[in-house]
Amino acid sequence: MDALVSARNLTKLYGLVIGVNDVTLDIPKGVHGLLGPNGAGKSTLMKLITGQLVPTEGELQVLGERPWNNPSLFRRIGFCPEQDAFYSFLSALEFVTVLARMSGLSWSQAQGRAASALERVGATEFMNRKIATYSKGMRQRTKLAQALVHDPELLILDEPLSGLDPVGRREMTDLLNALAKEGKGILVSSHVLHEVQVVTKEFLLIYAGRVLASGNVHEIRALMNRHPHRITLRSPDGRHLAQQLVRDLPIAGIELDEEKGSFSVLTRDPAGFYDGLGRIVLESGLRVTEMVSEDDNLDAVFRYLVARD
Amino acid sequence: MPIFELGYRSWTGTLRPPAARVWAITKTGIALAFRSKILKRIVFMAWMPLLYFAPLFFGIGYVTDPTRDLEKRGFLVGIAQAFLGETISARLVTDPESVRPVAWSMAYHLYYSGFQAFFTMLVAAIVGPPLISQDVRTKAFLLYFSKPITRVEYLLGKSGTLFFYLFMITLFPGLVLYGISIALSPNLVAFTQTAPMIGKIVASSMIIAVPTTFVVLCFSSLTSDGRYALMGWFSLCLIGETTYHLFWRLLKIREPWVPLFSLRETMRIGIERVLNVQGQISVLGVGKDLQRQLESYSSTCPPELAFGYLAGLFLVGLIVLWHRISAPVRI
Repeated sequence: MDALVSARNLTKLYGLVIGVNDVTLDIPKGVHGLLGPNGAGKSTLMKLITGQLVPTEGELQVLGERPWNNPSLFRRIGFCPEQDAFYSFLSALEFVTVLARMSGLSWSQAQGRAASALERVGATEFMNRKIATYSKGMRQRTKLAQALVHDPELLILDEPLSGLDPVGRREMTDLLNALAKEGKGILVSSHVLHEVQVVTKEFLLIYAGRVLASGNVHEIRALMNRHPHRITLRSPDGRHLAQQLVRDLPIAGIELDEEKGSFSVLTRDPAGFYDGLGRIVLESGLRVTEMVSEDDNLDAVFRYLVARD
Repeated sequence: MPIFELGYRSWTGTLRPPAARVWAITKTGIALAFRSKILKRIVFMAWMPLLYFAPLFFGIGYVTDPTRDLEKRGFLVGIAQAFLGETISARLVTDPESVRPVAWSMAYHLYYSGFQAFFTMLVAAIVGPPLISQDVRTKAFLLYFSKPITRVEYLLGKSGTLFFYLFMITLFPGLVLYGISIALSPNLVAFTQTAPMIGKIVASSMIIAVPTTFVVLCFSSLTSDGRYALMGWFSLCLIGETTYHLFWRLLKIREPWVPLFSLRETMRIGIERVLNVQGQISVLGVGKDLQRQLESYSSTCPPELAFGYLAGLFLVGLIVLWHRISAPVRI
């Protein structure tokens, strides 16, 4: 069986609320990103994959086995949940050691493996301190260490980059890349595209409990580029600036908001727009006090994709 | 100079059997609970009754030794009379060894239903409430169940922690007391006469530990805040005890169901049946003081009803626990 995860008409209902809606997918071996805005169903899908939830309908197989009520499968899986699931009065070393023992390692091996896993995620320095004193980044590393401790084939990582500072994010992505090179299957969820595109180019886009699209990052970017990006600018010289932008740059539309003193630009060539904007501002001396690209967040991407027809 | 690669290496060892994972959960729970200074003190205090019972058993062994001259047993016989009553003590003259089993049963009955039942309530209140509620609050169950453990193993592991502490204050000191008593006995007849007591000690400890464990864990699984589980357990114990005394002592209602209000009294009835104190007293004679003794052990609640009630508590606790653990994300 080559697929890491295989689902057929997979559905999970929480009462009347649909968590995952009739999903059919095959995730082949490798590293895959699971992208979706908050509440899209990523965590529910991950909990189904890790056997935390039983599917309401449909079939699900992970590494060729059904995950629900199948603890032996979890010897081959490492799960890093989004939430901080700690006994915060323990140190990272104690905590990971306990979980290593629960994974089936002997007493003598567990502590050595825990120290090794913590070293791998860069947590050696603080692993003897109580988890209660950790920063978000330290907690993320600890969670990742417990997922790695029993050397699983498949890593399920739910928002592992969430809350990390840029340095921590870089270190974490380096680690994920290293794990991928070792041949481990990795399924990593995020709601920020650029966070995970340094780890993998293959994505599944989840929205409202359904798989909205799948493919590599270039396909997703191309899909996005078919729809104009919205960039909001605030300037004391708003009207003049807007006039020049319309005249000189590739713009599909413009909307003025007199009350807020801002205007929004719609463009299908954001890279060209940003280049041109810098040049215009420098040459004309017009000031820009604020610039926000709504399309930098995945919500906008999904709004585009959902409304593309 | 050879350069060796440092850091992470793949693991190729053999995984341990499931029982090792149950013990991992239990041992973790034991270690975490033992960080409580209050628990350490209570466990220590729970062994203190041995300071009373060990000399008592020594005294029983001494006065029931047929090789000793009764005159020389002097003041110990007086103490025996106070504890055992006149009729039984009179037997010390005619047939001292026949007194030993009943004296031991009476002493163990007092030990378990009097002293250790009280400590059980306290230890269960400290160890039990956080066991599952803590996993719910911290979402640790997400990690537990992402490891190769089944719901049954999780339940066994968690209940093992509470069993360990409850046995620490019931079974282990009971067996130690038995060992001391045999060691202090004058001859091996004491062992042959009282060997069934080992099974009765185990059974008495189970009567206390099993329903307590499952009721407390049930409370723990129903909340993410251990304080509510603690309140639930104390409410069951204290309100039940108060209600029992209200009906039994003040209102003089002696219906069979009245003792069931009190978990302690229900356990006492079960322990009394296991130790068979009344049965052993009855065979010694029919003196007035024996009647008083028998009344102090008897209850309007038949032992079968008490056992049924305790079994019911165990089953309800188990069903609720299973339901909660089977769907952890739903908690």
